[in-house]
Amino acid sequence: MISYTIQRIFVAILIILLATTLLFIMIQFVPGDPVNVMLGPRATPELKEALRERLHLNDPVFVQIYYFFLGLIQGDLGVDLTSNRPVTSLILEQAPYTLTLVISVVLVALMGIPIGTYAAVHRGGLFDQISGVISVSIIAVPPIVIGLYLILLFAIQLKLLPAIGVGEGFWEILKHLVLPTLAIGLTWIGYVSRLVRASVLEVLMLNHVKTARAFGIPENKVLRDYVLRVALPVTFTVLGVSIGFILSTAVIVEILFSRPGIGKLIYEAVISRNYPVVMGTVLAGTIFIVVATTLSDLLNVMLDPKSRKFKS
Amino acid sequence: MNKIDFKNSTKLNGISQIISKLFSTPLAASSLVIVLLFFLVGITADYISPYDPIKIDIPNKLSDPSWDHWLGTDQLGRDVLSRLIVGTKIALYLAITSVSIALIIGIILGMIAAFTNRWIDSALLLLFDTVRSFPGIMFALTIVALFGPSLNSITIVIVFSIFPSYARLVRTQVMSLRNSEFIEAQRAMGSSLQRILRLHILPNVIGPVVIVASMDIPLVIGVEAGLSFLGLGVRPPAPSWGSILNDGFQFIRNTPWIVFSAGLPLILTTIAFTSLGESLRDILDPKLRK
Repeated sequence: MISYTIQRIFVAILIILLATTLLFIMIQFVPGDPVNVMLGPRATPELKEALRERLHLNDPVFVQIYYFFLGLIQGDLGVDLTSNRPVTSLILEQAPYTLTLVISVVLVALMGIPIGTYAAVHRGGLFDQISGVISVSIIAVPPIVIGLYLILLFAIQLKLLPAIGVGEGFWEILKHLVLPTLAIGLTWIGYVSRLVRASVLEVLMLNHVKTARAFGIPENKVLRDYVLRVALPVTFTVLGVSIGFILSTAVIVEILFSRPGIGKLIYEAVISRNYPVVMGTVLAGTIFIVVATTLSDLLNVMLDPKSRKFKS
Repeated sequence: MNKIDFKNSTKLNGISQIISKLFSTPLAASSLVIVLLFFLVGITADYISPYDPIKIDIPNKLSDPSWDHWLGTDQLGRDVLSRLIVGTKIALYLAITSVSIALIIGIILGMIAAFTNRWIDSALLLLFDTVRSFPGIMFALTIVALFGPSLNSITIVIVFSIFPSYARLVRTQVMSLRNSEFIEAQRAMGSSLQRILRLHILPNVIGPVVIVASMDIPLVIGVEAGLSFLGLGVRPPAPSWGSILNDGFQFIRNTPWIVFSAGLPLILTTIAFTSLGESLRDILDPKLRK
């Protein structure tokens, strides 16, 4: 287990290093001088030279990457070109909004557990069929379209829920969270319910469940103690691995619902071509995803030692 | 990882058998019809759209659905139905080009990973995992920031986000085929590696990966819609589904039907491609069913 953990952490660090290098190489392919793009056409040569010097653009790529890593280790992701503030503090300022959304999506996604369990237990029944069709359909539809229809229905036609901003005070914040959460979360309810259904069906066939039933243990207890205990860890690890996807969808949904957060930060940076902010945010997102994936992978191995030999 | 038992995969006598199997379930049948319609509308878009999709007609702006304009007009008086029809062409173009490029890269890299030494294999796996850990939309926004918004940028984004999963799938499958008897027989007969890969491995690998790829078309459509909605995708006045959604969103309070009708083709095609892909997978290879 320890050697696997070390191996996994080593791979995670390698991925982060490689990701940074790839992003840097990509910048080299940008048509034209990045400094021109950053400062606009009216910048003086002195100003351009100063910026070039500050961003180490006169040095070879590998020296630039070295400086970037040196900063990264100290938690420094560069400086915002317009406000001159460190990118790290910009991200930390916006992160709580995005994290709130991501966490509430994860909580909503858990609704898929009872749906999937019920569908598996009553396999082939009406509920199973209907929930199956709805889940598969909703998994396919892009969250932005779900979000737009939710706004159309609940904010404009029924005027039940707000569609813009984050609100103030507990209840208002909660009300403002409903539609963005559903825009991302409906997909995940469908996904989790399919996943839980499949793993519950698998576990129901296992011998220990049959034995438990043969002993006359009540069906509810069998389900709770013998089936779900085995079926659920898989679901949690998949959800852990999927946090990255949820994060990246949150970005676009935040923009749709005019919420502050990482989404707005990167969107505005993209519009104004503020490279350091874009780079820093993407890198922070990548690190978040790599850490989440690694942790849930390790958790999976801890819960299910069998998977170790397949993984390695 | 998906591991396929080739000996047990259903033998198919032809396309007619697949189609008759598809038509036996209503969901698969209607998905197939919608997918075919998507292709048909995409190919014939320029001939069947009732109006010029970029012709501005200010006096008729934001008019309600009527016999002249079935889905109404947008803020510049352009016919929404015509824009949606021509938008299908853009969606189809993107889906075909980006998925094909990703398939080619994925198949080549997957085969290389499976057939070279351990070091190159590990390096490629690390590359696949790295690219996969880029946060989707954020990565897309970066590409747009770097290269500017265009159809090509969207293609780059999509190719990057989907090729690693094809490469991984191909790698696993090639590895399971590599030591099978018919490949060893070919080796014993002195066939070159290229010949084995081209004539014996590729035909066995391509089916499953194409099905997985067809199920990524909703993703392609979603990425395009998302980026164009943010004004970072297809450049105006070209009518993509995402940019029509964006136009409609500006006037969502007074003219909700633009968003409503622009969302429908997105919903229908994404659902159709997904459920068609699932049905095809079930028919062609029951072992892949999860």
